[in-house]
Amino acid sequence: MKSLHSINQRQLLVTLALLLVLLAISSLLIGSEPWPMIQALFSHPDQRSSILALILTEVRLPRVLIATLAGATLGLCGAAMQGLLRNPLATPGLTGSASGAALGAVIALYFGLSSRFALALPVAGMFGSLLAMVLVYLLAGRDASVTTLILAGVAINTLAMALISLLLNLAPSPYAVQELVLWMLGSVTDRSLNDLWIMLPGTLLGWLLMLGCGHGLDALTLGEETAASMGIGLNRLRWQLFIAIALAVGSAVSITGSIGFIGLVVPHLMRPLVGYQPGRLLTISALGGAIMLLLADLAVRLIPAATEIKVGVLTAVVGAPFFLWLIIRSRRSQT
Amino acid sequence: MTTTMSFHYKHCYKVLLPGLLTLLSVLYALTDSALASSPQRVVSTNLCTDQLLLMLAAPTQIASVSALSLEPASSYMAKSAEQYPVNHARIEELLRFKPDLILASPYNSPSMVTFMRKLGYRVELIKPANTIDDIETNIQQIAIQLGKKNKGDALVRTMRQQLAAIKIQPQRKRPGGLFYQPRGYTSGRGTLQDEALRRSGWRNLASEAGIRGYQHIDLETLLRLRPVHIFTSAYAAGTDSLAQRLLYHPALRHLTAGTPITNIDYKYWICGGPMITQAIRLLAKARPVQ
Amino acid sequence: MNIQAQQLSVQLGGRPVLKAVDLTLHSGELLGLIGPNGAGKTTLLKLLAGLIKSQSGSLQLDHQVLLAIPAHERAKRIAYLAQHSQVSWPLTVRRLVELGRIPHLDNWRKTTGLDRDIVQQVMEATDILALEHRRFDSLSGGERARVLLARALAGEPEILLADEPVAALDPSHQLEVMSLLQAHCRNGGAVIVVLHDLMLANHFCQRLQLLYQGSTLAEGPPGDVLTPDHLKQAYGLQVSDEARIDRCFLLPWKMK
Repeated sequence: MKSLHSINQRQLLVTLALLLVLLAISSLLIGSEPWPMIQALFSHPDQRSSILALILTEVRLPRVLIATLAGATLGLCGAAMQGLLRNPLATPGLTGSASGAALGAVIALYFGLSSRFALALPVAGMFGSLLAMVLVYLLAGRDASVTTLILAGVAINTLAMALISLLLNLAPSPYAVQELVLWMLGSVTDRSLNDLWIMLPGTLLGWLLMLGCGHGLDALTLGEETAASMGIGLNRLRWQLFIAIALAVGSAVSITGSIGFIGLVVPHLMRPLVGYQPGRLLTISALGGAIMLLLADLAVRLIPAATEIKVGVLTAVVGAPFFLWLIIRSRRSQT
Repeated sequence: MTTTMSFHYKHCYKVLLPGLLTLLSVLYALTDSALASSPQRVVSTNLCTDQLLLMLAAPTQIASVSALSLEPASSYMAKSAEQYPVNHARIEELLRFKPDLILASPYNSPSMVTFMRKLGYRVELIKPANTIDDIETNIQQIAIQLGKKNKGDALVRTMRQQLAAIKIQPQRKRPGGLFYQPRGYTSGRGTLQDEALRRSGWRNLASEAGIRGYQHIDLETLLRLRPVHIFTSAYAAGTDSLAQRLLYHPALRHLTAGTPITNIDYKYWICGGPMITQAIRLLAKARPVQ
Repeated sequence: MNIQAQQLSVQLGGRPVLKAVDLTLHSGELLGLIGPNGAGKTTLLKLLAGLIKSQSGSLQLDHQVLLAIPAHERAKRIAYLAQHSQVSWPLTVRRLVELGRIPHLDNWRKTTGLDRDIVQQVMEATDILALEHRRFDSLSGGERARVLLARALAGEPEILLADEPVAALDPSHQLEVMSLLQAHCRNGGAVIVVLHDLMLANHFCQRLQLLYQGSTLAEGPPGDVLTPDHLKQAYGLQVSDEARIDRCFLLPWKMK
């Protein structure tokens, strides 16, 4: 443990940032087929530059940027939520914010709101996210135990998922029904720069609000009363975080669907590296989340399959066993 | 076809023989009359057979068509389908029409087909057409079943004339196009769209890339094929979904230098029929001027 | 610096917890709050920390209404050491003490060299430098108490409100913590400490305030407060006859 604590925080930050840039660049170069950039260089001498540029700027760049933003949002929100509730199982997926966001986005997208007004999509996602989160919070109560929190989360998630599937069945578009998986598991393929612009404002604003909560989350380590005695306005902190998470998760989920487990796994992996301090965890977890989603997205492109596997499938396949391990470990520590 | 039919009848006898002599006699009468004269109470359970039935049969022969045939986006014969009762290919429904011929597709529920046959009804399975030859075969097959062989031959003749009438300017190099549908599907070798593209003077880049049938195509792969024109048959215009949004991906617009995706209605080829000629005419018209 | 509280009354869930309590505190003073369980000591401490509001009465810090002072300003001047401090994440000792600097940090400002110097001094004073890299969850009870105290002191508060900081400590650690509180007062600060150990209260505090059923039963120098009568009334016990009340020894001997 001692060696972990002596990790220089600046070095950690720089290492993760470099890793992220490296991954982003390789993501730009690697496509769904092995080395198409090289193939393209040789196969179409007449127009190769324009097609290359088109693939790079209109297909891969949005995909890489959206994966980075969404991954960072999930990592950051997971860290913030866990810090706020002082509970390592609290994540956007578990506390309803992701499925609420998906519900909001589904309402906006399939019932014509977003075709009239593009920003209706993330805005509906944000409202859905906030509503679900507040409901879980009210259901579970302020100092909820892990069990109560999970139960409340499961209830709201199930409700949101049921409503999503109902709405997709009722949606006027005949294609809607088949898109349930997309909303439940998430994907970053075939997104465009338009999608990036749509998700950017809410994401950045949400991040900013969340990163401003570092001291508050640190103080909460000592319990709510002590934090309040240290000048932290708890109500304000709570609402600031809820709104921030709603902004960021709403924006991300309305574009990518609810990608699971990154918000759970990443803060856990990063926490020892920052000496368990919730405030410091925020930035590191954001970087870790972006790295994790980019990695998953790369893997999805490289795994040979007739049609590409959804990135959320991969994060769930890796993340679910991790979740089980967490539960078993927390059970052991309780007994 | 006749061999499989007789097999089924034999099969029916085996099943029904024990203790069902009265029904057997009715059955005899039914099949006898059906084979002897043209059917008078035809029920079609599938859009593909609906359309050919509506084109070939005398109105008095038609007892019911499937509900989808009223859908103008997918049914070419929506207008003339309106005057007939509709069915949803459910067994109880079909029994009510007392059909003397049931037209179905291999995509209909197999249990419905087996059950109706067990009860002694005559069920004809018409394979979906994937080529223009298939279309001709289907037209002639149904025409014979309906006792309208001459009408079938005439329909085929007209179709051939219309095809021949589509003028395709000989070009030094045939332009490359492909189909891109919501959810990112394209039509490769062995599809009506493939044949239509080729007959209208296009290269189907999807087939050339080795795609067979109706398959998902990766957006990047599509871009690298560099079609000068993209076609689609998206239905449900005015509705929105992620699947449909894919068609508005800015990369596609850039690729075709601003030429929007051309929509060619589903009704021309969701089921093979003589209306395919109209789709081919539209495709030919979309070719770039050289 | 002084705290002036007059006629503070608090009701919690319709039940009166504090009834018209007065309290004063000046720089350099170590004030002990004593009284049986449920007498209202913790409630009074929370009032002074600005964590709860009183239904009536006035509470002023340097002639300013306490709750009118913005929370972050108040936090710089008053530190609160809660009774059952739980620590949610296993921070290292140094990081945990550094949390005490939060009242002095803006939202976006990180700790500076000055903050780290102060933390270093406080850790030295509380003798926890040797523990600096240990995780909080690996510490013994005595070590934890010192670390939490160091956290409170790291904010350089004028006033420290400590709720039973020596509960569950062995005698030597009790003495250690009490001397640290005493040192804080010698350096110009002021401390209000809730105690159950009357000997410690007698020995370390300049003044005691004895609460009983939400009211002040007695207030003044320990000798005036810890009288057999007061103790009998508040705790329902009799003080040992052999050990008369003096400055160093007080022994609860038997129930009355």
